[in-house]
Amino acid sequence: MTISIQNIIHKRLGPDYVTAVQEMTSDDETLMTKEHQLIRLLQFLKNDPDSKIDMLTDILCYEHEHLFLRYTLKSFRLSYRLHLCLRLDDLNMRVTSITSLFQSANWLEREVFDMFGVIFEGHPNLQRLLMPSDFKGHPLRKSFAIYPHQSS
Amino acid sequence: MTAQYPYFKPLQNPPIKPIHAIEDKESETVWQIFGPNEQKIPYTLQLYLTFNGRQIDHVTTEIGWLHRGLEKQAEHTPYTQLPTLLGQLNPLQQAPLQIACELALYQLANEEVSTEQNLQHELQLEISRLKHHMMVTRQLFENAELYRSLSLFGTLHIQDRPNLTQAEQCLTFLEQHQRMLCLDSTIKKRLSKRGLIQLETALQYGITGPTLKACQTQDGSDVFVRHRIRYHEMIESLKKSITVLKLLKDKAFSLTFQTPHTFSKPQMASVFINAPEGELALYIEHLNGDKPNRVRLKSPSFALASAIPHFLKGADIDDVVLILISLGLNMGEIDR
Repeated sequence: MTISIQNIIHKRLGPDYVTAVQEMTSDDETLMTKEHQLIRLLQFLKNDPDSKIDMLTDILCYEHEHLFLRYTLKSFRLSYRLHLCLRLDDLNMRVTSITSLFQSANWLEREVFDMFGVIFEGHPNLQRLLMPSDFKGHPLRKSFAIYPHQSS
Repeated sequence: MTAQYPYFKPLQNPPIKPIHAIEDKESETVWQIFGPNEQKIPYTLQLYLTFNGRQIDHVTTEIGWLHRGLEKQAEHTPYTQLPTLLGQLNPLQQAPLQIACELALYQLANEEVSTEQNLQHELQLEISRLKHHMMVTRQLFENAELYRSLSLFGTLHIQDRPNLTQAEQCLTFLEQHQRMLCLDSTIKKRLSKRGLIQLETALQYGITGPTLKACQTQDGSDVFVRHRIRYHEMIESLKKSITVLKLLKDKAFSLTFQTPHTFSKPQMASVFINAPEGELALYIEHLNGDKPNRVRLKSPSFALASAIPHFLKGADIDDVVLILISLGLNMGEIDR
Protein backbone atom coordinates (compact mmCIF):
# COMPACT_ATOMS: atom_id res chain seq x y z
CA MET A 1 0.00 0.00 0.00
CA THR A 2 1.38 3.38 -0.95
CA ILE A 3 -0.72 5.65 1.28
CA SER A 4 -0.33 5.72 5.06
CA ILE A 5 -3.73 5.98 6.69
CA GLN A 6 -2.08 6.80 9.99
CA ASN A 7 -0.59 9.96 8.46
CA ILE A 8 -3.91 10.97 6.93
CA ILE A 9 -5.69 10.55 10.29
CA HIS A 10 -2.96 12.47 12.13
CA LYS A 11 -3.22 15.35 9.67
CA ARG A 12 -7.02 15.62 9.55
CA LEU A 13 -8.19 14.44 12.97
CA GLY A 14 -5.20 14.93 15.21
CA PRO A 15 -2.49 12.70 16.70
CA ASP A 16 -4.62 11.22 19.51
CA TYR A 17 -6.91 9.09 17.39
CA VAL A 18 -4.67 6.19 16.42
CA THR A 19 -1.29 4.63 17.11
CA ALA A 20 0.36 2.10 14.81
CA VAL A 21 0.97 -1.41 16.14
CA GLN A 22 3.03 -4.24 14.70
CA GLU A 23 1.57 -7.54 15.73
CA MET A 24 0.42 -8.97 12.43
CA THR A 25 2.64 -10.90 10.06
CA SER A 26 1.04 -9.36 6.96
CA ASP A 27 1.90 -5.96 5.42
CA ASP A 28 -1.55 -4.46 6.07
CA GLU A 29 -1.58 -1.39 8.28
CA THR A 30 -2.83 -2.04 11.82
CA LEU A 31 -3.91 0.90 13.98
CA MET A 32 -4.89 0.96 17.64
CA THR A 33 -7.75 3.20 18.68
CA LYS A 34 -10.04 3.83 21.65
CA GLU A 35 -13.67 2.84 22.03
CA HIS A 36 -15.06 6.41 22.31
CA GLN A 37 -13.25 7.46 19.10
CA LEU A 38 -14.33 4.50 16.98
CA ILE A 39 -17.48 5.90 15.34
CA ARG A 40 -15.90 9.28 14.55
CA LEU A 41 -12.87 7.53 13.08
CA LEU A 42 -14.90 5.15 10.92
CA GLN A 43 -17.10 7.99 9.67
CA PHE A 44 -13.96 9.87 8.69
CA LEU A 45 -12.40 6.84 6.93
CA LYS A 46 -15.62 6.20 5.04
CA ASN A 47 -16.09 9.75 3.81
CA ASP A 48 -12.53 10.91 3.28
CA PRO A 49 -11.57 10.93 -0.43
CA ASP A 50 -8.01 9.82 0.36
CA SER A 51 -8.94 6.77 2.43
CA LYS A 52 -12.17 5.68 0.65
CA ILE A 53 -12.95 2.83 3.03
CA ASP A 54 -16.12 1.22 1.72
CA MET A 55 -16.26 -2.27 3.24
CA LEU A 56 -16.18 -3.83 6.66
CA THR A 57 -15.11 -7.40 5.95
CA ASP A 58 -14.66 -8.81 9.45
CA ILE A 59 -14.78 -8.21 13.18
CA LEU A 60 -12.35 -10.44 15.02
CA CYS A 61 -12.52 -10.78 18.79
CA TYR A 62 -9.65 -12.42 20.64
CA GLU A 63 -8.58 -12.81 24.21
CA HIS A 64 -5.21 -12.80 25.82
CA GLU A 65 -5.38 -11.30 29.30
CA HIS A 66 -7.86 -8.72 27.94
CA LEU A 67 -10.44 -8.79 25.20
CA PHE A 68 -9.58 -7.10 21.90
CA LEU A 69 -11.69 -6.27 18.86
CA ARG A 70 -10.15 -6.03 15.43
CA TYR A 71 -12.16 -4.43 12.62
CA THR A 72 -10.93 -5.40 9.15
CA LEU A 73 -11.78 -2.65 6.69
CA LYS A 74 -11.22 -2.57 2.99
CA SER A 75 -11.18 -0.01 0.24
CA PHE A 76 -12.61 -1.66 -2.85
CA ARG A 77 -11.76 1.36 -4.99
CA LEU A 78 -8.18 1.84 -3.78
CA SER A 79 -7.50 -1.89 -3.17
CA TYR A 80 -6.01 -1.91 0.30
CA ARG A 81 -6.90 -3.31 3.69
CA LEU A 82 -6.77 -1.71 7.12
CA HIS A 83 -7.09 -3.21 10.60
CA LEU A 84 -8.49 -1.12 13.46
CA CYS A 85 -7.88 -2.57 16.86
CA LEU A 86 -9.31 -1.66 20.24
CA ARG A 87 -9.00 -3.02 23.75
CA LEU A 88 -12.20 -3.56 25.69
CA ASP A 89 -12.74 -2.59 29.29
CA ASP A 90 -12.54 -5.77 31.41
CA LEU A 91 -15.49 -4.84 33.61
CA ASN A 92 -17.72 -3.13 31.10
CA MET A 93 -17.54 -5.08 27.87
CA ARG A 94 -19.51 -2.61 25.81
CA VAL A 95 -18.78 -0.95 22.54
CA THR A 96 -20.86 1.21 20.20
CA SER A 97 -22.43 -0.67 17.31
CA ILE A 98 -21.32 0.36 13.81
CA THR A 99 -24.36 -1.07 12.01
CA SER A 100 -25.37 2.47 11.03
CA LEU A 101 -22.15 2.74 9.00
CA PHE A 102 -21.78 -0.78 7.60
CA GLN A 103 -24.62 -3.24 7.03
CA SER A 104 -22.16 -6.15 7.31
CA ALA A 105 -21.60 -5.26 10.97
CA ASN A 106 -25.07 -6.60 11.80
CA TRP A 107 -24.22 -10.31 11.71
CA LEU A 108 -20.55 -9.81 12.61
CA GLU A 109 -21.48 -8.04 15.85
CA ARG A 110 -24.14 -10.62 16.63
CA GLU A 111 -21.52 -13.35 16.27
CA VAL A 112 -19.06 -11.59 18.59
CA PHE A 113 -21.88 -11.10 21.13
CA ASP A 114 -22.80 -14.78 20.82
CA MET A 115 -19.26 -16.12 21.18
CA PHE A 116 -17.68 -13.58 23.57
CA GLY A 117 -20.54 -11.72 25.27
CA VAL A 118 -19.48 -8.27 24.06
CA ILE A 119 -22.46 -5.86 24.12
CA PHE A 120 -22.82 -3.67 21.03
CA GLU A 121 -24.82 -0.63 22.09
CA GLY A 122 -27.31 0.56 19.49
CA HIS A 123 -27.40 -2.73 17.55
CA PRO A 124 -30.90 -3.18 16.05
CA ASN A 125 -31.21 -6.89 16.89
CA LEU A 126 -28.49 -8.07 19.27
CA GLN A 127 -29.38 -11.76 19.56
CA ARG A 128 -27.35 -14.93 19.34
CA LEU A 129 -26.45 -15.91 15.78
CA LEU A 130 -24.99 -19.42 15.88
CA MET A 131 -26.01 -20.74 19.29
CA PRO A 132 -29.61 -21.30 20.44
CA SER A 133 -31.17 -18.41 22.36
CA ASP A 134 -31.35 -20.46 25.60
CA PHE A 135 -27.64 -21.37 25.54
CA LYS A 136 -25.73 -20.41 28.68
CA GLY A 137 -22.30 -18.80 28.36
CA HIS A 138 -20.10 -17.60 25.53
CA PRO A 139 -18.18 -20.51 23.99
CA LEU A 140 -15.06 -18.76 22.71
CA ARG A 141 -14.18 -17.17 26.06
CA LYS A 142 -11.11 -18.79 27.64
CA SER A 143 -13.11 -19.40 30.82
CA PHE A 144 -15.55 -21.61 28.88
CA ALA A 145 -14.47 -25.26 28.98
CA ILE A 146 -15.03 -27.30 25.84
CA TYR A 147 -16.37 -30.33 27.75
CA PRO A 148 -18.13 -30.41 31.18
CA HIS A 149 -15.37 -32.47 32.85
CA GLN A 150 -12.56 -30.25 31.59
CA SER A 151 -11.16 -27.44 33.70
CA SER A 152 -10.62 -24.16 31.88
CA MET B 1 -18.11 -21.91 33.15
CA THR B 2 -18.89 -25.35 31.78
CA ALA B 3 -21.55 -26.60 29.42
CA GLN B 4 -21.74 -29.26 26.78
CA TYR B 5 -20.26 -27.84 23.61
CA PRO B 6 -20.78 -28.10 20.65
CA TYR B 7 -24.47 -27.77 21.42
CA PHE B 8 -26.88 -28.30 18.56
CA LYS B 9 -29.91 -26.10 18.17
CA PRO B 10 -33.12 -27.92 19.15
CA LEU B 11 -35.67 -28.60 16.43
CA GLN B 12 -38.18 -25.83 15.91
CA ASN B 13 -41.92 -26.16 15.56
CA PRO B 14 -43.28 -27.82 12.40
CA PRO B 15 -43.77 -25.59 9.36
CA ILE B 16 -46.42 -22.91 9.72
CA LYS B 17 -47.65 -23.72 6.25
CA PRO B 18 -46.00 -25.72 3.44
CA ILE B 19 -44.65 -23.53 0.68
CA HIS B 20 -46.75 -25.16 -2.09
CA ALA B 21 -49.99 -24.23 -0.28
CA ILE B 22 -49.53 -20.50 -0.84
CA GLU B 23 -52.27 -19.00 -2.95
CA ASP B 24 -52.36 -15.75 -4.87
CA LYS B 25 -53.36 -12.51 -3.14
CA GLU B 26 -52.86 -13.92 0.30
CA SER B 27 -50.33 -12.76 2.87
CA GLU B 28 -48.84 -15.69 4.72
CA THR B 29 -45.72 -16.57 6.69
CA VAL B 30 -44.10 -19.82 5.65
CA TRP B 31 -41.21 -21.72 7.09
CA GLN B 32 -38.91 -23.05 4.44
CA ILE B 33 -36.01 -25.42 5.01
CA PHE B 34 -33.05 -25.74 2.69
CA GLY B 35 -30.39 -28.40 2.69
CA PRO B 36 -30.28 -32.14 3.39
CA ASN B 37 -33.27 -33.43 5.29
CA GLU B 38 -31.52 -36.03 7.44
CA GLN B 39 -32.10 -37.07 11.00
CA LYS B 40 -28.74 -35.88 12.32
CA ILE B 41 -28.52 -32.72 10.27
CA PRO B 42 -32.15 -31.88 9.66
CA TYR B 43 -31.53 -28.66 7.76
CA THR B 44 -28.78 -26.16 7.18
CA LEU B 45 -30.62 -22.92 6.53
CA GLN B 46 -34.04 -21.70 7.65
CA LEU B 47 -35.86 -18.83 6.02
CA TYR B 48 -39.02 -17.31 7.43
CA LEU B 49 -40.73 -15.77 4.44
CA THR B 50 -43.71 -13.42 4.48
CA PHE B 51 -45.58 -13.08 1.21
CA ASN B 52 -47.78 -10.54 -0.40
CA GLY B 53 -49.49 -12.67 -3.01
CA ARG B 54 -46.60 -14.59 -4.60
CA GLN B 55 -44.07 -11.85 -3.90
CA ILE B 56 -41.77 -11.97 -0.89
CA ASP B 57 -42.34 -9.13 1.54
CA HIS B 58 -40.05 -9.96 4.41
CA VAL B 59 -37.31 -12.51 5.09
CA THR B 60 -35.68 -13.65 8.34
CA THR B 61 -32.63 -15.88 8.06
CA GLU B 62 -31.77 -18.44 10.72
CA ILE B 63 -28.35 -20.11 10.70
CA GLY B 64 -26.31 -22.10 13.20
CA TRP B 65 -27.71 -25.56 12.46
CA LEU B 66 -24.32 -26.90 11.41
CA HIS B 67 -22.34 -25.15 14.13
CA ARG B 68 -19.72 -27.62 15.41
CA GLY B 69 -17.54 -25.29 17.46
CA LEU B 70 -14.60 -25.73 15.12
CA GLU B 71 -12.89 -22.50 16.16
CA LYS B 72 -12.99 -23.67 19.77
CA GLN B 73 -11.75 -27.13 18.78
CA ALA B 74 -8.92 -25.51 16.84
CA GLU B 75 -7.64 -23.91 20.07
CA HIS B 76 -7.14 -27.46 21.38
CA THR B 77 -5.61 -28.85 18.18
CA PRO B 78 -1.85 -29.05 17.51
CA TYR B 79 -0.62 -27.04 14.53
CA THR B 80 0.24 -30.25 12.66
CA GLN B 81 -3.45 -31.27 12.60
CA LEU B 82 -4.88 -27.81 11.96
CA PRO B 83 -5.07 -27.99 8.10
CA THR B 84 -6.98 -31.29 8.32
CA LEU B 85 -9.36 -29.92 10.95
CA LEU B 86 -10.17 -26.79 8.95
CA GLY B 87 -10.57 -28.83 5.77
CA GLN B 88 -13.57 -30.53 7.40
CA LEU B 89 -15.57 -27.32 7.08
CA ASN B 90 -16.11 -27.97 3.42
CA PRO B 91 -15.61 -31.63 2.49
CA LEU B 92 -16.29 -30.90 -1.18
CA GLN B 93 -13.75 -28.09 -1.52
CA GLN B 94 -11.02 -28.55 1.06
CA ALA B 95 -8.24 -26.89 -0.93
CA PRO B 96 -8.92 -23.18 -0.14
CA LEU B 97 -9.22 -23.86 3.60
CA GLN B 98 -6.12 -26.04 3.77
CA ILE B 99 -4.05 -23.67 1.64
CA ALA B 100 -5.07 -20.70 3.82
CA CYS B 101 -4.03 -22.66 6.91
CA GLU B 102 -0.68 -23.69 5.41
CA LEU B 103 0.10 -20.11 4.35
CA ALA B 104 -0.77 -18.83 7.84
CA LEU B 105 1.61 -21.36 9.41
CA TYR B 106 4.39 -20.26 7.03
CA GLN B 107 3.72 -16.63 8.04
CA LEU B 108 3.98 -17.50 11.73
CA ALA B 109 7.29 -19.31 11.12
CA ASN B 110 8.60 -16.37 9.04
CA GLU B 111 9.40 -18.80 6.26
CA GLU B 112 9.08 -18.22 2.54
CA VAL B 113 6.79 -20.44 0.50
CA SER B 114 8.73 -22.06 -2.35
CA THR B 115 7.85 -21.28 -5.97
CA GLU B 116 6.84 -24.89 -6.62
CA GLN B 117 4.55 -24.89 -3.61
CA ASN B 118 3.01 -21.59 -4.71
CA LEU B 119 2.32 -23.07 -8.13
CA GLN B 120 0.78 -26.16 -6.58
CA HIS B 121 -1.44 -24.00 -4.35
CA GLU B 122 -2.53 -21.96 -7.35
CA LEU B 123 -3.37 -25.10 -9.30
CA GLN B 124 -5.42 -26.55 -6.43
CA LEU B 125 -7.28 -23.27 -5.95
CA GLU B 126 -8.14 -22.94 -9.63
CA ILE B 127 -9.33 -26.55 -9.91
CA SER B 128 -11.44 -26.05 -6.80
CA ARG B 129 -12.96 -22.86 -8.27
CA LEU B 130 -13.71 -24.70 -11.49
CA LYS B 131 -15.45 -27.59 -9.72
CA HIS B 132 -17.42 -25.26 -7.47
CA HIS B 133 -18.67 -23.13 -10.35
CA MET B 134 -19.54 -26.24 -12.39
CA MET B 135 -21.62 -27.54 -9.49
CA VAL B 136 -23.42 -24.19 -8.99
CA THR B 137 -24.09 -23.78 -12.73
CA ARG B 138 -25.50 -27.30 -13.03
CA GLN B 139 -27.79 -26.81 -10.02
CA LEU B 140 -28.90 -23.47 -11.43
CA PHE B 141 -29.98 -25.04 -14.71
CA GLU B 142 -31.73 -27.92 -12.92
CA ASN B 143 -33.75 -25.53 -10.78
CA ALA B 144 -34.47 -23.10 -13.59
CA GLU B 145 -35.96 -26.12 -15.42
CA LEU B 146 -33.84 -25.46 -18.46
CA TYR B 147 -33.60 -29.16 -19.21
CA ARG B 148 -32.70 -28.85 -22.89
CA SER B 149 -29.58 -26.89 -21.95
CA LEU B 150 -28.89 -29.17 -19.00
CA SER B 151 -28.21 -32.09 -21.33
CA LEU B 152 -25.01 -30.29 -22.34
CA PHE B 153 -23.53 -30.81 -18.90
CA GLY B 154 -22.92 -34.49 -19.62
CA THR B 155 -19.87 -33.43 -21.62
CA LEU B 156 -18.45 -31.17 -18.95
CA HIS B 157 -16.26 -32.81 -16.36
CA ILE B 158 -12.90 -32.20 -14.70
CA GLN B 159 -11.03 -34.56 -12.44
CA ASP B 160 -9.57 -33.52 -9.09
CA ARG B 161 -6.10 -34.12 -10.50
CA PRO B 162 -6.39 -33.58 -14.24
CA ASN B 163 -3.58 -34.08 -16.71
CA LEU B 164 -2.83 -31.60 -19.45
CA THR B 165 -4.89 -33.41 -22.13
CA GLN B 166 -7.99 -33.55 -19.91
CA ALA B 167 -7.64 -29.86 -19.01
CA GLU B 168 -7.32 -28.79 -22.64
CA GLN B 169 -10.30 -30.94 -23.63
CA CYS B 170 -12.35 -29.39 -20.81
CA LEU B 171 -11.41 -25.89 -22.01
CA THR B 172 -12.75 -26.67 -25.50
CA PHE B 173 -16.08 -27.83 -24.01
CA LEU B 174 -16.26 -24.83 -21.68
CA GLU B 175 -15.82 -22.37 -24.50
CA GLN B 176 -18.60 -24.12 -26.46
CA HIS B 177 -20.83 -23.98 -23.37
CA GLN B 178 -20.11 -20.31 -22.86
CA ARG B 179 -21.19 -19.54 -26.43
CA MET B 180 -24.42 -21.54 -26.05
CA LEU B 181 -25.43 -20.83 -22.45
CA CYS B 182 -24.44 -17.19 -22.00
CA LEU B 183 -25.89 -15.83 -25.27
CA ASP B 184 -29.15 -17.81 -25.37
CA SER B 185 -32.17 -15.49 -25.14
CA THR B 186 -34.40 -18.08 -23.35
CA ILE B 187 -31.84 -18.53 -20.61
CA LYS B 188 -31.32 -14.78 -20.36
CA LYS B 189 -35.06 -14.22 -20.01
CA ARG B 190 -35.39 -16.88 -17.29
CA LEU B 191 -32.44 -15.68 -15.19
CA SER B 192 -32.37 -11.90 -15.69
CA LYS B 193 -33.66 -9.37 -13.14
CA ARG B 194 -33.77 -11.95 -10.37
CA GLY B 195 -31.87 -11.52 -7.11
CA LEU B 196 -30.59 -8.09 -8.14
CA ILE B 197 -28.00 -6.23 -6.07
CA GLN B 198 -26.15 -3.01 -6.87
CA LEU B 199 -22.50 -2.26 -6.16
CA GLU B 200 -23.01 0.10 -3.20
CA THR B 201 -25.31 -2.37 -1.42
CA ALA B 202 -22.92 -5.26 -2.08
CA LEU B 203 -20.08 -3.24 -0.53
CA GLN B 204 -22.29 -2.41 2.47
CA TYR B 205 -22.81 -6.13 3.09
CA GLY B 206 -19.09 -6.90 2.57
CA ILE B 207 -19.80 -9.17 -0.40
CA THR B 208 -16.83 -10.30 -2.50
CA GLY B 209 -16.18 -12.77 -5.35
CA PRO B 210 -18.33 -13.37 -8.44
CA THR B 211 -21.34 -11.56 -6.93
CA LEU B 212 -19.32 -8.37 -6.44
CA LYS B 213 -17.68 -8.71 -9.86
CA ALA B 214 -21.13 -8.97 -11.41
CA CYS B 215 -22.09 -5.69 -9.68
CA GLN B 216 -19.50 -3.86 -11.77
CA THR B 217 -21.48 -4.51 -14.93
CA GLN B 218 -23.95 -1.95 -16.23
CA ASP B 219 -27.15 -3.69 -15.01
CA GLY B 220 -25.94 -4.70 -11.55
CA SER B 221 -25.63 -8.27 -10.31
CA ASP B 222 -28.59 -10.54 -11.09
CA VAL B 223 -28.71 -14.34 -11.48
CA PHE B 224 -27.88 -14.17 -15.19
CA VAL B 225 -24.89 -11.84 -14.81
CA ARG B 226 -23.53 -13.98 -11.95
CA HIS B 227 -23.93 -17.02 -14.21
CA ARG B 228 -21.97 -15.26 -16.98
CA ILE B 229 -19.24 -14.22 -14.55
CA ARG B 230 -18.94 -17.82 -13.33
CA TYR B 231 -18.37 -19.01 -16.91
CA HIS B 232 -15.76 -16.32 -17.43
CA GLU B 233 -14.01 -17.33 -14.18
CA MET B 234 -14.12 -21.02 -15.10
CA ILE B 235 -12.39 -20.37 -18.41
CA GLU B 236 -9.77 -18.15 -16.78
CA SER B 237 -9.16 -20.77 -14.06
CA LEU B 238 -8.73 -23.50 -16.63
CA LYS B 239 -6.28 -21.40 -18.64
CA LYS B 240 -4.24 -20.73 -15.49
CA SER B 241 -4.34 -24.43 -14.58
CA ILE B 242 -3.08 -25.39 -18.02
CA THR B 243 -0.15 -22.95 -17.65
CA VAL B 244 0.74 -24.41 -14.23
CA LEU B 245 0.37 -28.00 -15.50
CA LYS B 246 2.78 -27.17 -18.32
CA LEU B 247 5.28 -25.66 -15.85
CA LEU B 248 5.14 -28.46 -13.29
CA LYS B 249 4.67 -31.31 -15.81
CA ASP B 250 4.49 -34.69 -14.02
CA LYS B 251 5.25 -33.20 -10.61
CA ALA B 252 1.98 -31.21 -10.47
CA PHE B 253 0.32 -33.42 -7.85
CA SER B 254 3.22 -35.43 -6.49
CA LEU B 255 5.17 -32.72 -4.61
CA THR B 256 5.01 -33.00 -0.81
CA PHE B 257 5.86 -30.21 1.61
CA GLN B 258 6.30 -30.13 5.36
CA THR B 259 4.23 -27.36 6.92
CA PRO B 260 6.07 -25.56 9.77
CA HIS B 261 4.65 -26.13 13.25
CA THR B 262 7.07 -24.47 15.68
CA PHE B 263 7.16 -20.72 16.07
CA SER B 264 9.59 -18.51 17.95
CA LYS B 265 7.53 -15.45 18.90
CA PRO B 266 3.89 -14.63 19.64
CA GLN B 267 2.12 -12.98 16.73
CA MET B 268 -0.97 -13.14 14.59
CA ALA B 269 -1.03 -14.42 11.02
CA SER B 270 -3.71 -13.24 8.64
CA VAL B 271 -4.24 -14.83 5.26
CA PHE B 272 -6.70 -13.73 2.58
CA ILE B 273 -7.39 -16.28 -0.15
CA ASN B 274 -9.31 -15.76 -3.36
CA ALA B 275 -11.70 -18.68 -2.83
CA PRO B 276 -14.43 -19.63 -5.36
CA GLU B 277 -17.12 -17.51 -3.66
CA GLY B 278 -14.91 -14.58 -2.68
CA GLU B 279 -12.35 -13.58 -0.11
CA LEU B 280 -11.70 -16.21 2.54
CA ALA B 281 -9.91 -14.82 5.60
CA LEU B 282 -8.08 -16.90 8.17
CA TYR B 283 -6.47 -15.52 11.34
CA ILE B 284 -4.27 -17.64 13.59
CA GLU B 285 -2.92 -16.16 16.78
CA HIS B 286 0.10 -17.86 18.32
CA LEU B 287 1.18 -17.18 21.89
CA ASN B 288 3.20 -20.22 22.95
CA GLY B 289 3.17 -24.01 22.83
CA ASP B 290 2.03 -26.20 19.95
CA LYS B 291 -1.58 -24.99 19.78
CA PRO B 292 -3.04 -21.68 18.63
CA ASN B 293 -4.57 -19.18 21.05
CA ARG B 294 -7.25 -18.14 18.57
CA VAL B 295 -8.32 -19.29 15.14
CA ARG B 296 -10.84 -17.30 13.17
CA LEU B 297 -12.23 -18.16 9.78
CA LYS B 298 -14.29 -15.67 7.82
CA SER B 299 -15.98 -17.29 4.87
CA PRO B 300 -17.22 -15.29 1.85
CA SER B 301 -20.56 -17.12 2.21
CA PHE B 302 -21.12 -15.40 5.58
CA ALA B 303 -21.57 -11.99 3.95
CA LEU B 304 -23.75 -13.48 1.21
CA ALA B 305 -25.99 -15.23 3.75
CA SER B 306 -26.40 -12.01 5.74
CA ALA B 307 -27.62 -10.31 2.54
CA ILE B 308 -30.26 -12.97 1.73
CA PRO B 309 -33.17 -10.68 2.80
CA HIS B 310 -31.97 -8.09 0.30
CA PHE B 311 -31.64 -10.64 -2.52
CA LEU B 312 -35.08 -12.14 -1.87
CA LYS B 313 -37.15 -9.06 -1.14
CA GLY B 314 -39.72 -8.58 -3.87
CA ALA B 315 -38.81 -11.87 -5.57
CA ASP B 316 -41.41 -14.30 -6.84
CA ILE B 317 -41.85 -17.52 -4.87
CA ASP B 318 -40.67 -19.55 -7.91
CA ASP B 319 -37.30 -17.80 -7.89
CA VAL B 320 -36.29 -18.31 -4.25
CA VAL B 321 -34.26 -21.47 -4.84
CA LEU B 322 -32.80 -20.10 -8.06
CA ILE B 323 -31.51 -16.96 -6.32
CA LEU B 324 -30.07 -18.93 -3.41
CA ILE B 325 -28.23 -21.29 -5.76
CA SER B 326 -26.79 -18.39 -7.73
CA LEU B 327 -25.05 -17.22 -4.53
CA GLY B 328 -23.21 -20.56 -4.11
CA LEU B 329 -23.52 -20.60 -0.30
CA ASN B 330 -21.51 -23.03 1.77
CA MET B 331 -23.26 -23.43 5.10
CA GLY B 332 -20.44 -25.49 6.66
CA GLU B 333 -18.08 -22.52 6.45
CA ILE B 334 -20.70 -20.08 7.72
CA ASP B 335 -21.64 -22.04 10.83
CA ARG B 336 -18.20 -23.49 11.59
